[in-house]
Amino acid sequence: MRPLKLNMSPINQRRWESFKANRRGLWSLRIFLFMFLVTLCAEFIANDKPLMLRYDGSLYAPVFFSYPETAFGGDFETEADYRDPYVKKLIEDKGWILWPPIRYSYNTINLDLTVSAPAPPSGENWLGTDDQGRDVLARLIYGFRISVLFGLSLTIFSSLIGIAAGAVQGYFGGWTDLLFQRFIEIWTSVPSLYLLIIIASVIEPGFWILLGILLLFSWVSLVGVVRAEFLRARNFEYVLAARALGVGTFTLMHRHLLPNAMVATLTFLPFLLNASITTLTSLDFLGFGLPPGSPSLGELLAQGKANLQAPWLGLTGFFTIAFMLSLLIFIGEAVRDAFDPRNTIS
Amino acid sequence: MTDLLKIKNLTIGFHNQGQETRAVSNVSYTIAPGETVGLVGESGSGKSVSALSILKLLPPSARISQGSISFEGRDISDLDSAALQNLRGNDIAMIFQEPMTSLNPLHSIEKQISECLEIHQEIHSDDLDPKTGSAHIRTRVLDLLHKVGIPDAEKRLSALPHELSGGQRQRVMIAMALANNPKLLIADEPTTALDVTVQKQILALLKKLQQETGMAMLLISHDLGVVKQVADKVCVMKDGEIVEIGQPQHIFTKPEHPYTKMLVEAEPSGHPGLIDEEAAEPILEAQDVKVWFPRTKNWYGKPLDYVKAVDGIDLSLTSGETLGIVGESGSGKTTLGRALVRLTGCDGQINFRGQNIDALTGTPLRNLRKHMQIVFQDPFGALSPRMSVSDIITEGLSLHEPELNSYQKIFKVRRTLEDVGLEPDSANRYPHEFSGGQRQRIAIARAIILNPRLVVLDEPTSALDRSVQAQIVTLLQDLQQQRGLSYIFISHDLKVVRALAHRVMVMKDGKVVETGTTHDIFENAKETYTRELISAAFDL
Repeated sequence: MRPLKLNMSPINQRRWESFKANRRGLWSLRIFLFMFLVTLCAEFIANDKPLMLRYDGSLYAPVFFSYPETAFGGDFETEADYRDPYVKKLIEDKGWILWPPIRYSYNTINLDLTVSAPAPPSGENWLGTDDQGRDVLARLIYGFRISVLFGLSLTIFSSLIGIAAGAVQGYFGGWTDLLFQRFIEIWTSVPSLYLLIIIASVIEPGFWILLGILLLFSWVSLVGVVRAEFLRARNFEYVLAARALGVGTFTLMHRHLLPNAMVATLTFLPFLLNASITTLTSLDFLGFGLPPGSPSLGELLAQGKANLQAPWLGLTGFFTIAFMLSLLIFIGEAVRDAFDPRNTIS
Repeated sequence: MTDLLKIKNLTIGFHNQGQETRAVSNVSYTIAPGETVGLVGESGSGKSVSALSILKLLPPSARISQGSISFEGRDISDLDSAALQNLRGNDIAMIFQEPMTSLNPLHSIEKQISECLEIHQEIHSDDLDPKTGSAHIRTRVLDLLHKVGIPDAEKRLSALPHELSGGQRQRVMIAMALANNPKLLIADEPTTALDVTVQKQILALLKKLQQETGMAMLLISHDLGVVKQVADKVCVMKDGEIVEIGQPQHIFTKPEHPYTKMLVEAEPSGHPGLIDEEAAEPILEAQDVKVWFPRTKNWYGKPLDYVKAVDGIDLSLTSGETLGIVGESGSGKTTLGRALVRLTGCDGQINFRGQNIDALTGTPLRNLRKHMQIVFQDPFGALSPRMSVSDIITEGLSLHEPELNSYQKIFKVRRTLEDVGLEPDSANRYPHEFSGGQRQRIAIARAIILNPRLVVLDEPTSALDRSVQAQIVTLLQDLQQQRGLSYIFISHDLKVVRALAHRVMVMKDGKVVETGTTHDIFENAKETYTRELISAAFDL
């Protein structure tokens, strides 16, 4: 993280120092980034395909390419099922297989269970299986990734729209502001959950459709802060001085006014991310979220509720969500303190 | 005579992340009962900190590392919080610089004054006066308001702070401070935020009240004039140390320490350069400029009533000339300055170098801005804290001279920085690393790098210390000589205006009171208002 420092203004350097001084926030950030980076490579950690195998003198990478079973001397033209003991034996006779640490993908069903699903944690399934015999740990890794990615996309897109809308309202003020504000008041009173349920009954919502629908309503959350900052700062003397230099409207907004609003916005972001993740989780829990079969934390919680006799489902879901949200809150608090002008300006 | 307050070897430091910054070092002075001591110094000299320590009102990061403060023979550091509470407000009262923020905006002045009576004298609002039958406390409050000279005190009881003028607010603050007959009044820059004429009245009031009540006073100010008028003894502070203590006559006539000498002599001096009458061409001509803000509107949104900030002003300016616009706060001089460079909408006709500019908008107006620039009052607010000095100064260059490559730009920036008396190498630093005076120089550099014909200077010196003011005035004079600039110099400070302006325009309530050459205005003003302004400014 050191190279970051090179092109930071002194104020940002002091903020970064003050963020680093908050050890809880710094460690939360490190742990969160580590978990996020690890889960980004979920395919290499939990997969039902080997990372690499050697068969008959040549190398294969089943994670990236699909090979028919016949390539390894099998019978079918379809993609090889490497978990099939028959295929495994075929390959290992003429080479070796390098497996990922967890030999299950999020949708791999463990067909060798000795007990009925959901199966309790064991050496094979470290966190047990869910009620369809799928490995909980593998689903957790994929679910964490999709939650964070969804949360990040929703946060980024809604901040882009929210900042732009707030900037326009705050800078122009007057009628623009008045009309926009009334529109937002009406818009926020549309019940988004019902809308989602109605849409979900017509089309099957995937990642992007769900993102789009939630985005329709989540962009308003930043408008207020950004608008207030622009309203306040547009009469600052350095903004007037820039206007007196003949700086155009767009440059003025983006070079002189936006940095002011960024403090408020960045402070908000970790909390927005938190809210986005929670929204997706609760939709999945209710069954209006991602399509059936997708790995998701909300679905894990729903299974935990349906299978109270299998506490590992509910407990895993609960602890993962609680841990992730706490990390984000700690990061958010540290960011907020670092941006507090009382800490940096004095 | 025993001393009322005795400060001995006081040293105060601010602790921040393990580092100590000395604010006050080894300061000693005494105040006798009934005496007025003036504490003078420039900003950052530690004068307020040393005064706040008397009431133990320092922020938590400050620590007294050495020395003692004793009041009536008792050491203040030994007092517990109850005794301290008793000391504050009862024996020692304090008034602050900014009367607007020192008063609670939601409470009437009666409530705020009676609050200090209730706390310290245990008079309750339901106690009745045996004689008049009305609430006892109200008579006391009225009494105080009369004493500090609030007109129509009975009607003013229920007024909220925003309904009073700045001077009246400061009078209310003084009434609150006097409510408990303090033995010592600490006045921290009591007149700095006020207009000169009001400043004079408040000082006279403080002096009168002091004679009546016999209290001692510690008057803190950066303005030697204020202290000179009131104080029996003057302490001059610099960088946390007292460099000279003495009688005011002595300090002002025969200052010993070089710093005091510098302060006393730091009056803006010099005269505006001569204008070459033949080469002079008209730069700016304005007729009937009006800026009216609608105050009330009817149901259809049609304005019914206006605040007439600028109400029909004519002016003209030739090249190389400075027009000083003076007036008290609220006279519309800043609004006029902004209207002239089209930063505020206005009615009326404005011709800039023969071109009518009052209807220009968009790109033509933006292109014209190369030739007219503005410098603002607050050197801290006028520079974006997130941009380096070179970014700030080059912003205009990139817009108006896009043909320059980055090497040429840097060259121009360095030369302009030299012209305004700054190190060329400071281009890569950020505004917060500079002092107020240096920042004002950066703001001037930003304005002149485009070689404008007209610069509107909106109170460019009023946020600065006296000695820095004088330097900026000299800089402005030099720049005008070198570049043939025309200035519109807006200020409430007549001393600075006299040093810079060829002609002066006196404004009041959006209208011109009087216009004339600087000599005429200062030597034989026709209007009483002008004469009042001048006497208030120069008699201090």
